[in-house]
This record gives sequence, C-alpha cells and structure tokens, in this order.
Amino acid sequence: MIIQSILFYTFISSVVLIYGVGACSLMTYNHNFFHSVIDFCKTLIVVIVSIIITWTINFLFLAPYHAAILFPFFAFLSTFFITIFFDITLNKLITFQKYNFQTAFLIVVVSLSESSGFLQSIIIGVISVASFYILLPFLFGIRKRMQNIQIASDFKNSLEFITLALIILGLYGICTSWLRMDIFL
Amino acid sequence: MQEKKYFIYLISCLALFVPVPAHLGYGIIVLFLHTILLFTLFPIIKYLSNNEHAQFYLYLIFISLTILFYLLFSVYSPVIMFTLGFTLFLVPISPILMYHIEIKNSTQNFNYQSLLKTIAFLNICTLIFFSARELLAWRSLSLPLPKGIYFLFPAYKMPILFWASIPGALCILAFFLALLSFINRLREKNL
Repeated sequence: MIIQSILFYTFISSVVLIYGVGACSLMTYNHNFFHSVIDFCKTLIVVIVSIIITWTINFLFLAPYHAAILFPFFAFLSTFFITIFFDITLNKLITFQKYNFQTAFLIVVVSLSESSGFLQSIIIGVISVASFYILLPFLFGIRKRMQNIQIASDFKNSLEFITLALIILGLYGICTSWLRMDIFL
Repeated sequence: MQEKKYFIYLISCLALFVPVPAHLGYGIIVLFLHTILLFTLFPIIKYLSNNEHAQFYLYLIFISLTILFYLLFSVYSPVIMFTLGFTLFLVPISPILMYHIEIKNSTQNFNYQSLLKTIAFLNICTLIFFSARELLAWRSLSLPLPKGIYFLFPAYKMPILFWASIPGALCILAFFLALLSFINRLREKNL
C-alpha cells in the first residue's frame, strides 16, 4: 500500500499537474535556491503536523458523529496557525518573505480526503509537497529561457500555460491519446 | 492600472478552475459558489481594511461558507457534489486574491457598480471557458440536475479526451488569455 501510494502520487497522478494544487503558486514562485530549500522544509513540517492534528480531530470528534465533511475547516485552522508560528520563528532567524499558505492547506485537504488511513495520508502529503518542489527547477529554467524569447506581447501571458500543458502531455500523453489501448484492443 | 489588476485576477481565477471537470454543469456550480463568496467579500471588506488578521477572518468565513454550500448542494444533487469533491475547496482562494487587489484601493470610495461589472465579466468569461471545453470534448452542453449532469444535445459516445483533460484546458486558457489580452490592447489604443 505504501509503495503503491508513492508510485501513484509521484508518477501517475501528480498533485500539482493533475489536481492543480499549487499550480498558480508554481507559476509565480521566485525564491532563490536557499529560500526554496527552507520553504520546502517548512511546508513539509507544516503539512505533516497539520495532517496529524486534523486526522486526530477527525478520528476522535468528527467521524463518530458522521461530521467528517467539516474536516477542511479544522485543516485550515491547523495549517494557518502552524504557518504563522513558522513565519514568526523564521523571521527572527533570517529575513524571509512571507509564505503563501494556500498550497499547504490544499495539500492537507487532498491527502486527508484521498487516504484511507493515517499513514497513507502522511505519505500522500509528503509526496505532494515533494512533487511541487520537484517541478520548481523545471519551471524556473523555462521561465529564464522565455525572457529572451521574441514573441507577440499578447502571447507572453499564455506561454507559461502552454509550457505546463506540454509538461503534462509529456508525462501523461498516453492518458489523453486518441490511440488508447482500452478502446482499440 | 486597475483594469490590469482585474485582468490578472481573471487569469488566476480561470487557472484555479482548470482542475474542475470539463462540463458546463460543474462550471455553473463552481461559479455560483464563487459569486456568493465575492458578494460576501464586498460588505465586509470595509470592516477588515484596517485589520491585521483580515486574511485569517476571510479564509475562515469563506471555508465555512464553502462547507455550508457543499452540505446544502449535497441535498440537491449528491452525485455532482461527490464528483466535484475536493475541487470545490479551490474556489475560496480566488476571492482572497480579489481582497488583495481591493485593499490596495481607497476602500472608502468603494464603487459597487464597477465591481458588479467585474463580477459579470468574470462570470461570462468563466462560462465561455467551460462551454468551450465541453463543446470541444463532448460536442454538447450540460446542466446540473439532481440526478447528475444532463446533456442538452446528444454528446459524443467517444469524447475527445484531450480537451476534457488538464493540458487541453490549459491550451484553451492560453488561447483565451491571448484573445483577451489582444482585445484589451485594442481598447486601450482606442481610448
């Protein structure tokens, strides 16, 4: 089950490319390498702690009363307060741009709604954070290249969307191909 | 400058709607929730303009409203709500972006008329986006009914999956934005 979850959320259904979680943040992300590493560690801790808190609340108080639908509310509260705690602590150590907590919140919601157990939700959360930060260098490289491109100004905004579409097609082209095996065999 | 900010808002809004299934029926529901959240934002924006924790309160209100909307709509159509599932929680993020645009303006001189125009324009653009996706993928349009999605015209038996997928949606979005940017530029030239 653990290996299945890792393979599924890393290769088959990336949370950024298929679910669209953090796709917006990914396109506007412009931290340097050092800040990206700190950001990654911070998001990872925020997501894991939030999943633990929300899962415990859900397991003890919500699920027994058939109120599991309310879990995003508690996911938001835990993610928000942990993010603020990290912002305050990190700002004392280094000058750090405030992090947008939306991606972390959405990852917590995805991992809790898709999992069937505590361990699986943690695994999905960790892999989702990793898949977001794995894509960063690729998009950064593409954005750097696009700065030198001569193109009509109307298409400049659209180019990043097309690039992201091409990355997804490169990885999951077979899923949207007209020559699908389940149809033609 | 203000129009440019609304244009960026439109881009980010449409980008957030990309993971929603490629049916107009789902688009209508998502848009309905989005409009409710935007209408909730405007009365409270004045009270929160000087508040340090405005973002927290807004998230709290929007996520609570989204859960309430989910529960109420589950009574109307459980199938549609089950299909939408997690994607509904992408919606509360976009009104926060609107808040960040509005808070930088003079909130005392709040122009409701221009905001209503913005919401109307945004809704039309989103409906066109969802219609284009569904027409290209299924050759039909759909409406949300209690039993699920109802096709207004006979749909393809084998849909063109590319347009229903995320890369297809991103390509439509890219074309749509290029078109909007072109119209915007022409309008600025004429002014």
